[in-house]
Amino acid sequence: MLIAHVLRLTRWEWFKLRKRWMPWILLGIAVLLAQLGLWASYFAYHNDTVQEVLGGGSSSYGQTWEEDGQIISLSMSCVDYINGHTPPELDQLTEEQRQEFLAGVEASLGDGACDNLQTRDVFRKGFTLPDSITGAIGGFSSVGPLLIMVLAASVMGSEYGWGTLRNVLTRGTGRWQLLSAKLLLLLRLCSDVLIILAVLAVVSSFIAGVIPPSETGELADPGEWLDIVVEYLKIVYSLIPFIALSVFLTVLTSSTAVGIAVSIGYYLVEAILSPILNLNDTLSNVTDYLLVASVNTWNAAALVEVEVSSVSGEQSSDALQAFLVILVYTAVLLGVSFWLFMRRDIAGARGD
Amino acid sequence: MASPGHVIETTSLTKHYGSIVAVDGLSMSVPRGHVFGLLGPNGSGKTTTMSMLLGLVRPTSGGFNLFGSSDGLEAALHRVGAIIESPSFYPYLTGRQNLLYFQGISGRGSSDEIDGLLERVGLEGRGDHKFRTYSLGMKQRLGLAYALLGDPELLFLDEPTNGMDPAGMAEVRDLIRNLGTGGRTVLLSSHLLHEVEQVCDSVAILSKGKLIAQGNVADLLRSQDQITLKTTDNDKAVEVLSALDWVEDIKIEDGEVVVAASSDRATELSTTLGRSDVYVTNISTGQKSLESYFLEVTGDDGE
Repeated sequence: MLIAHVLRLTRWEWFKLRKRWMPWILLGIAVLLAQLGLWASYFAYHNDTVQEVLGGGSSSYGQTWEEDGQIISLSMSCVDYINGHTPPELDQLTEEQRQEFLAGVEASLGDGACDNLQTRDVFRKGFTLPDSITGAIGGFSSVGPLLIMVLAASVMGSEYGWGTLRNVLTRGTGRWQLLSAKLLLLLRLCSDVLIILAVLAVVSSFIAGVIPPSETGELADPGEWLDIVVEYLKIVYSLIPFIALSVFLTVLTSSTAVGIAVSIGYYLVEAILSPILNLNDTLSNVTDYLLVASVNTWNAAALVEVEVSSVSGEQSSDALQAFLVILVYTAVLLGVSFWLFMRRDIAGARGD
Repeated sequence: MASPGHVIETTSLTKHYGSIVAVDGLSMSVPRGHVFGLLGPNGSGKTTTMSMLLGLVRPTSGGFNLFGSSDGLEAALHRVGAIIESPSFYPYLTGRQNLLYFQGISGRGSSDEIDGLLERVGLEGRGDHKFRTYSLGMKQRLGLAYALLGDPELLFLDEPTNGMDPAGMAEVRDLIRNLGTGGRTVLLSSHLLHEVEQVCDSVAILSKGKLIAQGNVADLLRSQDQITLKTTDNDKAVEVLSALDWVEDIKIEDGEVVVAASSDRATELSTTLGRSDVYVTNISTGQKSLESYFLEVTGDDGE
């Protein structure tokens, strides 16, 4: 009965929220950034200059011949080498010269000289399936906390600002049910945004795949699906403490503006402070218990590969600690939020 | 538990904000089916009292009961409609969408009900406009429609005619008077004492958080009846009438003897004076207005 009531409240919270501009603007930003990343990979992959600059493909091999007073000069860059693009002038050479040139290319570029062009593979993965999906939803972990904190503070704080909280509560809506409904809605929105980003990544990957020169991937391996699901769950979990932080600050101050400012301020301060703390061996332990640092550790952990190597085993330990730290932050922040919200007197509109 | 016939009963209800006592030991009963006025100067604790009864503000001490029910406040609030202070709604939603939302979260009602309510409060042509475009009077009307959602048994109306033009105020007055029929109870707070006098069956008057008067409006005003006399000898008239135990107060004002007593006693008064050779040359009876009664008991300007 109570759960049904909370679910009904959640449905009606969505009725309200979907008529506001804010969630659509925030979704637009998330989609734009994800698509920007995907198509930037596409263009970088197909642009030799970008690859040379970013991929370290400046290494090249060149050779010159003089034939009947005519100078024939040939060269091949790492990009050409990896792409299998031979210079057109190769046909002007004799078979002996051609073999000599290709042997020289192999000796110069094929012996690890082009290894740093692995970046190219990263570009390729950025817009081909299945990595484009994990890229899109994984990328949300960088900007997602900021977007979700803005949304959470607005969903909660606008009720104080407009004075509508009184109307909601005097309809017999329990306080904990209302707060639970808002939290459920925010969690649901996080999940939905990630699904939207994933679907759009699939669509864009297909589009990128059919534009010549085609370069498509596919989701053939069930393990790849598992990677995507795990990444999805990881990101959703990593966003929950930011919802809790923003809701806590908004309930504490009864203000959207303060909720947004302080939660984002905390996020940025911690992001700046952590590297500084890490310079000191003693203080670096502190970062293990900070929220943003723990979320970053959690997002960086390759959970699926934990059993593959000893290095991954170490990652697993870090991931477990990060998981627990996130859990504790979430529990404490939500616990205090509920306690405050249940006890506080509700005043009129605050106008922010 | 509220006694039968009372929908609201408070017992020593108290609210402190730090060192400020907003409501001080309020014990009040609101009879079922009455339009009950809650009066008091600014800061007398009217809105705080309503807010406590609606679960928005936690009492510091004391208690209250709605409908005599032991099911808890949340259950009781399903039978309540309320508009507290200025009407607050979602500015980006239309009036109809606002009502739809509040109807939805309480899980009862239909879209027909919303159409009916918009028509009832005179918003039938503006229901599909955004709340932010409404005038204060229209916001008040939407607030009334909101309070009436689900056909509640008990209505809390805090200054419902604020910002309305005279025609609108008269409409709302009629509406409130009609709401008070058929067993529904209305708790009305208003700064317009004339309005309260016209609409309310009973009132409670608060001052500095304390209840200073409560009762049926007619009874309260009847207790304030006065008889004004012109006599052949005002001083002797005062001396004679002061001896009567049913005369509550007597004084000479502007050459007339003003007697605080029920107007039903006018003839008896005249006869008594005649027996003492004091003859009445002019006699008139009158009743104080609620406003003058209010000013007298609060010793302050009304809101």
